[in-house]
Amino acid sequence: MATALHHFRALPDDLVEIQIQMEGHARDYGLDFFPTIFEVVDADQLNAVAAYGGFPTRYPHWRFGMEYEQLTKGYSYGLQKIYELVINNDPCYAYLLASNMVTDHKLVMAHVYGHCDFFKCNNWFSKTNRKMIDEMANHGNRIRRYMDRLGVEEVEAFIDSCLCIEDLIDIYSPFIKRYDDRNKYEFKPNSDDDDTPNSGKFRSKGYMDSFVNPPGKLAEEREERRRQVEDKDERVPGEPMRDVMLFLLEHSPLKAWQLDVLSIIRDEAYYFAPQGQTKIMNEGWATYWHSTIMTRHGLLPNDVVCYADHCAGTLAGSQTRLNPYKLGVELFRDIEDRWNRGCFGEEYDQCDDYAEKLSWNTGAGKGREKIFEVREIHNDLTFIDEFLTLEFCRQHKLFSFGYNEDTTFYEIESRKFRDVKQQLLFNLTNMGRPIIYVKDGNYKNRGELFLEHRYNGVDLKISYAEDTLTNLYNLWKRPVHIETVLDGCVTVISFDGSEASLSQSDELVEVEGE
Amino acid sequence: MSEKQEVRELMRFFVRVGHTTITVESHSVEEAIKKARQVLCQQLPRLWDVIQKLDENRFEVARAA
Repeated sequence: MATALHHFRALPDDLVEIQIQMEGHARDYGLDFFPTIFEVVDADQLNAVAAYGGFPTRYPHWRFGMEYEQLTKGYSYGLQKIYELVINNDPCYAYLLASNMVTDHKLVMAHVYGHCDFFKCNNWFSKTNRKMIDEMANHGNRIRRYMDRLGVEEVEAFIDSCLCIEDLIDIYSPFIKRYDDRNKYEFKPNSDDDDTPNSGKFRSKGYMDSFVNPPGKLAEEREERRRQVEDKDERVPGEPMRDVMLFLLEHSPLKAWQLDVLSIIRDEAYYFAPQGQTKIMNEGWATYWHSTIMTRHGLLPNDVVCYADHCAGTLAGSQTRLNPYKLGVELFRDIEDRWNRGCFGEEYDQCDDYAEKLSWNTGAGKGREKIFEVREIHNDLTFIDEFLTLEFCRQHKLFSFGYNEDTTFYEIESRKFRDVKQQLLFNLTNMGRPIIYVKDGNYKNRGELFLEHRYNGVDLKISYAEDTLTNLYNLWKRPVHIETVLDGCVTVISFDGSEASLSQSDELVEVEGE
Repeated sequence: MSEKQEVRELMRFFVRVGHTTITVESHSVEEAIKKARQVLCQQLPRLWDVIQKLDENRFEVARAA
């Protein structure tokens, strides 16, 4: 798979001309993006790049191979097709499928410019690394060096443990300074020896070691560091700490190469976090602009059927899952229409005449300005919270559904606006994942790690929790515990290195709103 | 001498722009175009910005019988 990625084709002249046209239209509408480089690839290469998350230079790991297998099988069986792939970088890199027709190329380019504008202008991406393609290559090189030195299996097994907790980050921390900055390269990145990073030893040849690192002096320094740690009691955070990976980086007894690998996984998790938080908005924005540009400028008569067919496939609703493209584009169109007609503000909100609301039109004409403002400041959670209205829900016949154990079918649970919106917001909060904090790094005064699950009505999946604790044990090297709520009772799930255990109290927990 | 008062008659106009023709009631051609813009913006919300920017000479106005 690796060799296939390095033979991308430059754009042929006809596609260069189309790119210039599409870029011109995008800029005329006010889209602002970094320079965008398109590359033509075949389906195999595109699936390979997609498997790597858009970065062909990434570190090697079996998960990318698994993803590649799934994507190629889906493509071969006609179940799925990747039309476009673009990465958040300066310059943006985008990949065009060589087998696509010209209509699809035009559409993809217009769509890509929408994404590039979103990456540059949305505030949730403002702290991401815009040279990530180089950073990913750097990460790949560092991990490959460890693999060469220590063996693929050992390094890959460690990466598995790190990936298990890659969601345990604080997605708001780039915007709020919660802790003092630490130098992330304080540990020795090229060392694979058993010394921990803070051993205080200077590098020396064996016969000089007792002169360069006098044992008496080393013992004094170790005792001083131990006193400092006890005084500060840094392993008990002042307040529960959501960035579990940072806590492990600062306090876990890992080797230097392991800390380096953990920091790589953490940096990449932070880079991808905004993309997970803005999926609906990002796809909706790109779809809105490809639709606007194509229908007004890009389509020739012989393109129409192909374009309509492509759009129908991408925007089709499903009975079993939310389509982010469809929801996103319809919301943006609804916002534009409402702000053009003045359907906002106190007067409109307080009007209780449904017919009057339907025909409301003050001619405000602020729709286009409003959607640009929305794309700048919102993420999916605030987007849905602010703009998913009762009228929108009715118009698009939204419903919430769930699994009925009696009938063993997924069924519609509710068409009520409140229930639909609540379920959507629930699934978008923290991207649908449990919120976990580090509460104590010296639990029972035995150096055990104690975590807390912020219970919001959804129980943890026990099998997942136990597997996560097992991997956390690999990182912390001491027993780990998590306090959560199961079946309404406060429960502590523990892993001591050999087996998981559960201890449940009689304390009942009520969730707000229930 | 009494002041002559003009009686402004409400008239029906067919207003055509592109492939779309609508019927509006107004007192003048200019008013008909203005009303047509409003109606078209309501019927074609996704073309709001295009309709607002159209020149008046793009609107073909004919008086209905």
